[in-house]
Amino acid sequence: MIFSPITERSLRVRLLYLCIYALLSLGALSMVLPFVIMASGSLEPDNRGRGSAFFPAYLVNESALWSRYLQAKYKGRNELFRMSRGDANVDLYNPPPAGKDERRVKLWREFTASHPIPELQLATGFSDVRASSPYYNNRAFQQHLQEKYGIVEALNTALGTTYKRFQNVVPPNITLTGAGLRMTPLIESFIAFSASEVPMSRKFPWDAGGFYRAVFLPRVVGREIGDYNARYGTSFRGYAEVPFPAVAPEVGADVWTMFVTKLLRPNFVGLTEAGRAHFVQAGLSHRDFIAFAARPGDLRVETLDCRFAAWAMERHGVEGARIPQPELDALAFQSEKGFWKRVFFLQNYQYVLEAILLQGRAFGNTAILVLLMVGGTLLVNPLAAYALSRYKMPQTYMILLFFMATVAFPGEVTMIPVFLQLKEFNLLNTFGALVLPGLANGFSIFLLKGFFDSIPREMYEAAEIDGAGEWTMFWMVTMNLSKPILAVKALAAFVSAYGAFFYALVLAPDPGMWTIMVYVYQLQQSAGTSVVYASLILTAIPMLLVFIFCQNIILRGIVVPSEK
Amino acid sequence: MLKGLILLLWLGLLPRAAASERIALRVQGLPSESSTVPAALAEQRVVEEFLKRYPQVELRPAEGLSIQNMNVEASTIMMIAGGIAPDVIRMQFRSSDSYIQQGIVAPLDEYLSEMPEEGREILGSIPSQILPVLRKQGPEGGTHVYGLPLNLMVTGLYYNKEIFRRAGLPDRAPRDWKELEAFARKIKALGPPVEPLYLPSGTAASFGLMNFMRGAGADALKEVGPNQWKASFDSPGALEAFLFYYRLVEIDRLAFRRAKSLSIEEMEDVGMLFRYVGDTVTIDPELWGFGAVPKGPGGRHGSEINASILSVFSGITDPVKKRAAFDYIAFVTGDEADRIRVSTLVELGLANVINPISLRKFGFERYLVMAPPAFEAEFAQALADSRPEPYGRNCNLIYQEMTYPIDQMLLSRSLKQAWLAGDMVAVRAEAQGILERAVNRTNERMIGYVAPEVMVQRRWVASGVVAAIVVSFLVVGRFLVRSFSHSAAMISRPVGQHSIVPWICLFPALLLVFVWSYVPLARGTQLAFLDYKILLPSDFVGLDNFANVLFDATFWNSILATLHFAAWTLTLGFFAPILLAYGLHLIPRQKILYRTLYYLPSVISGTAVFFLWKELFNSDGILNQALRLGGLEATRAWNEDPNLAMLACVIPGIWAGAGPGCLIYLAALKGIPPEQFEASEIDGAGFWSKTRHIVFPGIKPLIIINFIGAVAAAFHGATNILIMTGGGPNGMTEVSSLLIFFEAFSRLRFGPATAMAWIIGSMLLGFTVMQIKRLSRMEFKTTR
Repeated sequence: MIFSPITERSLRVRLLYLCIYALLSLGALSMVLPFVIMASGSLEPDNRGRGSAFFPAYLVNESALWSRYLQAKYKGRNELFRMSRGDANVDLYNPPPAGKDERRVKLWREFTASHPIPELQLATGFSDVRASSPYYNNRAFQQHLQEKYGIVEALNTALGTTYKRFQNVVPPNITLTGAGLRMTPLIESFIAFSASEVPMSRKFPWDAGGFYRAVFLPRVVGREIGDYNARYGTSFRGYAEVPFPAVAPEVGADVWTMFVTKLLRPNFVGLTEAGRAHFVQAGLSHRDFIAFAARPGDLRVETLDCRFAAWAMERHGVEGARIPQPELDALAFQSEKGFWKRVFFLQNYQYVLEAILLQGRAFGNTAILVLLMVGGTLLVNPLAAYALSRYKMPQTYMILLFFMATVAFPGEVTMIPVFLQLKEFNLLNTFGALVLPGLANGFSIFLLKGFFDSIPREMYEAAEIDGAGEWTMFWMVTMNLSKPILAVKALAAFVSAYGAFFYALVLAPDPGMWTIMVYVYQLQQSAGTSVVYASLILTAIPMLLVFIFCQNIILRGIVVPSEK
Repeated sequence: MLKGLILLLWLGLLPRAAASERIALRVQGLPSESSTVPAALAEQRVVEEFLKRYPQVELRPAEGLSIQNMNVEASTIMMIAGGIAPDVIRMQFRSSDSYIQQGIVAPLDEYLSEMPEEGREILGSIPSQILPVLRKQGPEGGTHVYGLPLNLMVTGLYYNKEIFRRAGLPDRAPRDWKELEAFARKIKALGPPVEPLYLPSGTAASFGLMNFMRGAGADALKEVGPNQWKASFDSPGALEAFLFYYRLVEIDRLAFRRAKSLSIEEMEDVGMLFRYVGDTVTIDPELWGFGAVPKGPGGRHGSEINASILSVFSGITDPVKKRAAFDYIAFVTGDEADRIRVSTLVELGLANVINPISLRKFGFERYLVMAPPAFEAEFAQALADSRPEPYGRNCNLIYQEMTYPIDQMLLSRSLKQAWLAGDMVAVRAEAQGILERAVNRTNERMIGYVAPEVMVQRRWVASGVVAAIVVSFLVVGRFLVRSFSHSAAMISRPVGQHSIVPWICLFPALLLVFVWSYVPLARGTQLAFLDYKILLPSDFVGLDNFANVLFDATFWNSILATLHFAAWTLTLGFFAPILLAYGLHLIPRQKILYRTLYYLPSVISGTAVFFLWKELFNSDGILNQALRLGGLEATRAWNEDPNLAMLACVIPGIWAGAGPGCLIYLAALKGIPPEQFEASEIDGAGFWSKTRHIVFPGIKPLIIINFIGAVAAAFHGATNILIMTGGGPNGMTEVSSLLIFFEAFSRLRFGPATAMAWIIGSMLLGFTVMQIKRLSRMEFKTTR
């Protein structure tokens, strides 16, 4: 303490303390804030959403959870969300509150009770086609395959794929538009998975009318409904009012035809009576017939929304019935919101654990590398320092200089030859490449020697009298008395071995040799920010533990140079 | 007859090939197994078909890990140098010559001559503009075909149909510069957030300029002899292109520039942009129309033709494997593979994004109705007028080189004043001057052309500098030996007897230091005098590497950048831990809590810290959001802003380093005996006086030693800057260690890289020696 207890109570000193505390707290805040942002981001299901950067709002706020829920369900894609609402102006990242029209839901329930829904009419929510995605159904699908096939080779044989691990399997990209689905074993197995294991509440129908109104018309005819009205002489108040009949309408037949023949997936398009006759005449495939030969009256859209509207008209005389997707989403959300909150909270971490820590030999490699590095540094350097400190040799200063001079070597000059040498010694892709070049450190030896010099000579003399050999003396006297400083050296070795990814990358390009950090780096190249944050936090845990438990030893082991 | 013979040969080979062992080929650019995007699906099917036809071949991906801000060549070079070279190498036009001249890729003539018609059919189907890229004079002098093109791409000007409609423009791209300008003005009138034209900025900004260069009939380089190139972007046509570019960007503000490419959403507000169209278009043809790059005063469309080149690695010794590598290349670049690609995309409903020529070629004419109406004609025109990307010596640097004059023009005040005053004569004179200087620089740096008499002069300077380096090392070495022998004699105490024991203890350390520090140093020194080639014998070039480096403006710029970097790290980074330690030392309570909080950042391992901060520095990152809340205009990412980029490189290091850095000062402060404070208290000393007279002297030796170390350390640390800025913007953060890294690993110039390292090493010699000398006079103790 630089102040005595009496002066410490004076006003000026207290003021000084106050200032220091204020400054330190401010600094501490800037240390912690990026962490908070990182931790909060790592708990978000998807980083594209907007919200507070400091706290994942969905944990306490139901409307934020609702928004997150919809983002995950509609795969973060506004196009799909707009399709489900039939409205070009809704925004997935700022969704309207849940819908409440129970009459519509009742009608829909009645329809689904009497009409089984084919799986191909439904999109599987909570899944994504990105390769490194923590989406719930991506992982569920991977687990489903793992349970079914056991090992990845069996999966590859069965589905004709070439995956290296189950985590690489990505659900197929199935869309409302496009030229038909080419059924592969993988797509079939995904559809089977979705049919048997994904409950209805986690899917949504492919709504051709919704897509037509919300995405297609604004894009093709014009952003404003006025563009459409001007073109077709109608007086709709919004695109939501424009009908999408199953067969070609009289008004707006050209855009309807363009949408059905050029955009909509042919699986969703059937033929009318007249169409069937033309089809036989044309002698084309179903797809080509629709795209090139069909006349307006030949085609009938067979998506769920069209069938439902037709059924409602026929059965109840209700005109223009639409699938009550907002209400269905709200109901599904109410019954499962606790579940999704847990999923969003954990999914990034589960993903990182599965993708990195538990896979392959990453964990083992890291452990071996850290052990070799720490063990090696704690043996080679102290031994040399011990020899220099204990023995007066005529060459001592030359040897010290030999070690110290390496500090002056320009690192960029040696970088390339070190690499070439590792190659010549056939050390690339071995732990040797990662450990050997940095093991002996001239400066470290110099420092240790300086410290060993301060150990009282009497200790050695006493040990000699007890009949201790050289090794015992080194071990029991020198090393024993230098524990704190060795702890600092060990920590430095640990930090550099654990964090090294760049050299691991260059010197051991074989994935079988990669450490955790190399995998994390790889993940950072492809994954979203929230997954990256989760990976940073998970990999920081060992370092944090080491510091928390060893900080007192480390502080005692710091060597301070002082003038003699 | 001939065909029969080939068939017979083929049949004769077949059983042997089937019986022989499987051939494992390491291939660059294999489609990702898990990708489901249409282009990857098509590629997967091509590969499947190849494997069906060549069942004895096994394909393995040879992807080095990509490093951010680092070009793809680097990882290939490392793979080759490390003896795990890919068998099939994928290269770009601009880097192909380096691969050829370094002897990395093998000539394909012998295989082509075995093909039907001796390969004329294959070569005949390749657009004639790019044949000179593939057929080149090799390192040994003969002319050979070195690779076959994959995925031909042509640039076009894409226009946003929606914005064109709103601006009352026709549904087509502008045909020439005049129209481009007129269209852009109309779009500009729509007001923000709409921008008429997007052009890339950053270290490759001239990539956008090339669209105007070609339109003006100008080239970046011209061939003055067989494979002898000289920069030519100071020609009259180039001047027109630069001035037009300058006007669009700086005077009329019709183009906006940004380093980061646009996302699909951001593109919605952009009227026009240059982009490649190949066998697959990446943007929605419903929204975007395609046109050939507008004609310039040269009367030609300025489209570029480009492709990836697949080549065989020259180091393959097994002829069967070499053959298999060629078979792979011939197959995936051949017609059959194209047919598979096109039919896959048609099947996926993407007929409207395939180039019409391919659709016709493979019998999918009926799908032409799906393509936008004018697409076919525009594409044909773009293709006819297109010219290949620059492919001469070291052309992977051309975009960087041509960006310097752009930046100089954009930053020049006098140029702008002259323009606004309407003094076009002065404008032209200044622009011409900038271009001429830039061309000279490019000729020297990229092409390595220096007039002989200048070179003689430079060699004299270089020998002077090298002599100075040698002398200083000798003097310093002698000085060190002396001071060490003096002080070492004082430390060492005569204990124990002479024996072999100390040598046994010393042996591992001595051996390791010798093998991994001294030997590499010696070999590295040798490199500085060589024109080093990875696979071919290297030539001894004497002092030329030093001579060129010493007269290289980029090198001196990097020294300036390094000093700039060092100034920031030393003022902010060096003193932060000292002040922090003093603060932590002073406070009576909660020391451990604060200490732990400050230590927290360093648990994130080194490089990840920079990834994290890059996120925070983002244009929409938390820092800019905070600045905007404070009413400041903050739209640019910090690491792309000329004023903030260097700070962005420094801050993360300080953030992560202050906590661990303060520990040693904390220990030193604890070591100050408390009696001193008690005594001074009695003398009535206050806080400042105690700080000045007791605390500061107590930790001064430590501060000095650390400062010397920090100066030396400030000259290193390339990886972090590489991640944060990649050296940009405008080379402002390209510090020497990063430049050396780039020179060596992305430009393959190991010789000059080592020469630079030596020059910088000798500059730092003084500091290092001071450090060693001081250390030798210190004693080392823990404080408790």
